[in-house]
Amino acid sequence: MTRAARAAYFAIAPCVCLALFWRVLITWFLGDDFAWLGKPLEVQSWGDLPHALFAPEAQGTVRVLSERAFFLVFTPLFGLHALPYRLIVLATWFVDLGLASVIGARLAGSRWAGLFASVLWAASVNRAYPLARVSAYNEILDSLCILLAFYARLRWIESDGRRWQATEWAAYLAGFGAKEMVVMYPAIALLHAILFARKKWRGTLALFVPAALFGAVHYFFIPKPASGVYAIVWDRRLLETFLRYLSVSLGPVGLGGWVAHARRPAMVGVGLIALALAGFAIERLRRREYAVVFFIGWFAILIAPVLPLPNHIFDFYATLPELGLAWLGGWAAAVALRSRPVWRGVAIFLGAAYLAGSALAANGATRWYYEHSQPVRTMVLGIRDAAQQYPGSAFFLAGVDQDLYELGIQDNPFRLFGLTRIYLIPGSENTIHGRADLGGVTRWVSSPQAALHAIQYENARVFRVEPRELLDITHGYETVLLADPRATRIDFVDAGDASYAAQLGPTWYAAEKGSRWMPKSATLRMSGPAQAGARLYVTGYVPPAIVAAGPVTLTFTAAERNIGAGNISTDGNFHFDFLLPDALVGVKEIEIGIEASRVVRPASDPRDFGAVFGTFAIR
Amino acid sequence: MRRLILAGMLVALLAAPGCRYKRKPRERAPINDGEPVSLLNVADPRAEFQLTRGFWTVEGGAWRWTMKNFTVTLRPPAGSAQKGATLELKFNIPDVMFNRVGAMTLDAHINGVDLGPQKYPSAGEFVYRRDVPAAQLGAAAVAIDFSVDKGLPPSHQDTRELAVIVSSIGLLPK
Repeated sequence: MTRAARAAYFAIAPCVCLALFWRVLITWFLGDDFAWLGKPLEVQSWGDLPHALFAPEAQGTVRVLSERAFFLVFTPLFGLHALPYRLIVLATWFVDLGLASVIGARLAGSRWAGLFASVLWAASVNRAYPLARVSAYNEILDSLCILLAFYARLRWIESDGRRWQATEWAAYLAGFGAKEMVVMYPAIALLHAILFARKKWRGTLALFVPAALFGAVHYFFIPKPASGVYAIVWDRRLLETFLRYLSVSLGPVGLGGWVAHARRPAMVGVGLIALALAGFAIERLRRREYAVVFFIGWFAILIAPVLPLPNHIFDFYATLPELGLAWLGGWAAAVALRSRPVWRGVAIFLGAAYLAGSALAANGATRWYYEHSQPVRTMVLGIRDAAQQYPGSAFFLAGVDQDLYELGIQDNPFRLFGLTRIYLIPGSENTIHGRADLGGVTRWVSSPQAALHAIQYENARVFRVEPRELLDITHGYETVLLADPRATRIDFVDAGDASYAAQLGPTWYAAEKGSRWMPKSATLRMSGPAQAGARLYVTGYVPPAIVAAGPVTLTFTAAERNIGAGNISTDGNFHFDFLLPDALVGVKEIEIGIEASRVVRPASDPRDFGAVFGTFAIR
Repeated sequence: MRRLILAGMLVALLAAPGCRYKRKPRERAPINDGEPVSLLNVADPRAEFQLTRGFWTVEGGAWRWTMKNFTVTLRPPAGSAQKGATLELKFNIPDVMFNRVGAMTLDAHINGVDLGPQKYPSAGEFVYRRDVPAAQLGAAAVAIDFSVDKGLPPSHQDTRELAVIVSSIGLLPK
C-alpha cells in the first residue's frame, strides 16, 4: 500500500465513528464524571498521592491509569472544559480501531477483513457510553492495552524480536492500571498459541503470573459487595447474561428504544446477522480455518468477567469482547464480496442494515447524552457563577427531575467549587430516588422554613434549571413560601446565628462563635406546636464560672406556662427537652421564657451572665 | 468489487442521521419570569415550584398522581381581591382507582376556609370548580389545600400513596 492508501485505510473507521458519534464532541460531563473530576481535591500534599492513586474505591477497583492518573493529571489542566477530554478519549479510540484493523487483517489473512471489522466495531452503538462519559475511559484504555499487547505478540511470533516481546509485557502490565478485564489476556494469548503458534504456548504461562497475583490481591484484600448491583452471583442467570451481551454485540438490538416501531426489525436484523455469522463460522471450520475459533473465543473469554454481575448489565461492557464478533463479521464480508453474487448481495444487505441500524441507534443515544448534558452544564456552571456573585449564600434548585438528579447532582459537582449549601427546593425530593451508597437524596433536602429563612436573612438564591438557562426565581419562590404555613412557622431558632436575632427578646447579648449568652432571664418567639405531644428541645453550654458556686437551675415557660426546669451541676454542654401543653397547638406565636437561678458578674465586665444557648427546636 | 463495496458503504453512511443536516425551526422561548402563575399545567416544569406538596412525578408528559392531601400555591388573578375568582381543578379518577375504592369526595380549603366538598360517583374526567371569595385572595399568592377522602395506600406494587390524577389547576378571573 502507498502511504496515502495506508492513511485512507486507517482513516475510514475513525471517520465512520465521527459520522455516527459526532455529538460526543459537544456533550458535557455527566454523572460519575464529576466523581472523578473531583479526584484532585483529594491531593493536598504529596503525602496524599499514594492514597489517591492506589486506595480501592468504586466497588473495589484500583484503575491507576485510566481513572486516577487520568483525572489527577488532566483535571488541573482542562478543568471543566469537556472537549480536551473527549479528544483524548477519541484519539485513544482511533488507535484502538487501527490496531483492530491490523490484527484482524493478520488473523483473517485479508486487509479488507481488517478494515470491515474496524468499521463494524466503530459503528457499534455500544460505543456511545464510553465515548460520551469520560469516567468510562477505562474501557477505551483497557482495549488499547490488550490490543497493543496482542499485536506485539503477533509481531513477536512473526519475528522473534525481543522488542515486541517487551512491548507485549509493557502493554499487558499497563492494562492492570486500566481495567480488571486485562486478567483475561493470558487466556487470549494461550488460545492463540494453541491454535496458531503451538511452539510458543509455553511463553504464555508467564503471563498468567501477574494475572494470578492481581486476582489474589483482589480476592483477599479488596472487600466485595455482598448485595446490591455489584454483588457477584453464580446461578442460571450466567447464561441469560451471556446471551444478552451476545445479542447487543451482534447489532443494535435495542434500536426500538430510540426509533419508534424499530424493535421488531432490529431483532430480525440481528437474528439474520447471527445466522449469517454462524453459517460462515461452520463453513470456515469445515475448511479448518481456526481463526473462527479464536474470534469466538475472544468474545467468550473477555465477556466472562462480567457474567456473574446479572444485576449490573451495561452494554458498553461488551466494548472489547465484541471485537471478536466484528473480526468474524469483517472476515465474512470480505470473503462474501469475493464470492458468488448472491453472497455479495447478502453481505451488502446485512452490512448496510447493520450500519444503518447502528447509525440510527447511535444518533438516538448520542442525542440523549448531549441533550441531558445541557441542563447539567447550565446548572453546574450557573451555580459556580452565582456563587461568585453571592458568596457564602445557599442555593436552592427547582426543576430537578430524576435524570437531572442522577446525571448532575448525585455525584456532587458543586464540591469542585467548594460549595456545600446546595439544596433541592423543599418537597421536590419526594419525586427523586437517590442511590443509598452515595448518601441518598437526604443530603440535598431542606425544609420550607429553612428555605424561607435562608432567603430572607442569608441572601440565599433559588434557581430553576432550564436547558440553557439558570433562571433566578428567588422572588417568585419566596412568594410561594410566604403562602406556605410550613415555611412561616418558627420551629427552630439558633440563638448563636445572627440571622435568627429577630426571634430573640431584648435581653440577649450579642452572638459569639455560634452561641449566645443570656443574663438572668431571656425570651424568644416561636410558633405553637403543630400537633399534640410536641416537645421543646434546648441545647446550650455552661462555663465553669457559672457552676463554681454550686448547681444552677434553668426554668422554662411557654406562653407564661411553666413547662419544666433543668438543673446543671457541672460545666459543659447541656440539653433538655420539655413537653409543650396541648393547649398551645396551632397558636401562631408563643413566647418561650428562660430564667436562670443564679448569675455571675466578672470583675472586668459589668454585665450579668446566666447561661450560653445554642438551639431551640419544637418537634 | 471495490465499486460495489464503496457503494454499499455509501448507502449505509447516507442512512446515518448524523450525515443529514436538517435545520430545525428555532423555538421561541415562552415568557416566564419565575413568578408564580394563576393557572398551571402540572406537567410544566416551570410551575413545579408551585406544587407545594402531595404531587408525584410527571407521567405521560401531561399529568401527575397526587396523594390524598395535596397543596398548590397560585397567584390570584388580577382584580380577584375585589371580585373573587373561580378555582378549577381538572382531574381524572381512573377505573383502576374507582374499582377499588368506589365513589370519591374531593374538597378544597383556602386559608382554612372550606370551599365545599364534591362527590364523584364514577370513574372519568372531572372538573372541581368553586367560587373563591375575594377576601381570601388579597395576598401575592395563596396556598390551596385539596383533600380526597379515599385513595390507595403504599403497597408492594406501588410504594406511593395514590388518590387522583391531576392535569391542571387554576384560579380564573370572574
